[in-house]
Amino acid sequence: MDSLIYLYGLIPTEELSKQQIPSNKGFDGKGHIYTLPIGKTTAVVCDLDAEQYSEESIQEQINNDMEWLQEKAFHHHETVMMLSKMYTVVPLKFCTLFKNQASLENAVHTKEAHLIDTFSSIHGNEEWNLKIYCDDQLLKEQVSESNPAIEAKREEISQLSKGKQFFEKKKLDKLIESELEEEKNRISENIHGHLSEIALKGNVKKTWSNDVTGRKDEMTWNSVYLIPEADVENFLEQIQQYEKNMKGMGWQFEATGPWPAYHFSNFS
Amino acid sequence: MALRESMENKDIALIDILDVILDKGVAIKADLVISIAGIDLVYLDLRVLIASVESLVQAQAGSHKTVSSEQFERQREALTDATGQPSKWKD
Repeated sequence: MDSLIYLYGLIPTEELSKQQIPSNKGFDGKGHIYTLPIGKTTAVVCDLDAEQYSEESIQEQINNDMEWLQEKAFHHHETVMMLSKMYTVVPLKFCTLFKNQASLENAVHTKEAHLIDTFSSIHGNEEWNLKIYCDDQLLKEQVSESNPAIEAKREEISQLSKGKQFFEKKKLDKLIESELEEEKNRISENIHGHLSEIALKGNVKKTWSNDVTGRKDEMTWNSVYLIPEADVENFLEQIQQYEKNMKGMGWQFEATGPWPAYHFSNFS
Repeated sequence: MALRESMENKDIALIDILDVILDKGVAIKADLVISIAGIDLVYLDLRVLIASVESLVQAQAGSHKTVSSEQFERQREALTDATGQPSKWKD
């Protein structure tokens, strides 16, 4: 039976001498997770049957078996989370598979210097995610009332004939939409700038549509931060303060974490 | 560390996890729509698989031969010659 190697994460070998990884079930629910020391880096892996976990069959499962994906995604997440609570971890993406031990070793050797740099940059720091939501309707009212450009346009329209007013009002709605987007971005960027000062690094991610979030309000911002452990409380307090000040105007803030440093380490 | 602890113990939605662990995050342009528990709509990019496919390709390349850019270049020139079409690439 040929077996593939599923890679969860990479850990500095020296940290493993202090504490061993706890016994844990592998990706297939049968085998176990084990460590594979490769010089200064140790890979946390499990074996998978090459036939059962070929690209085609994994693709098939992901396409057709939501329960499978959910179970395996949680398994991957929980395993990497457990590691990140104990060690400095470079987390791997879901379903990172190597054909055999030699190919994994080769990949780690090639990236050794990069990995050592990454370990030192993420050690003692946590990854946090922030999503900002905004009730467009509420904000639109504010924008439409307080924006001088819109105010002037409205005044101009009221002087026109009824027929002309109809088209001009359509144009005005467009203007309000674009002013709204600008306003949302400006506010979010300011907040991001402020939070990035507390964090070591901050990255902006793509926002999700309402179909994805299942919410009525719009996601206006999605970002991740790498924060020294000692500063996390302050970081979260800042977010809480924003929430307190801006909730009445239709803004909501959602922070999640700590995450393994997925966005601040890469091994691919 | 009260705030941090309460955040840490909050339940995380599957979609948050997928957005982080999938290679390209949760795609807005959906290749595939999946419904979880009849409520959440999760858009899953098929590129999720790229992570595993790439690793496999790398693994194969690692154990047999490496694909160099020179090799790629030679193949491209051969293909250009064979088709008799002018190359869109600038040499």
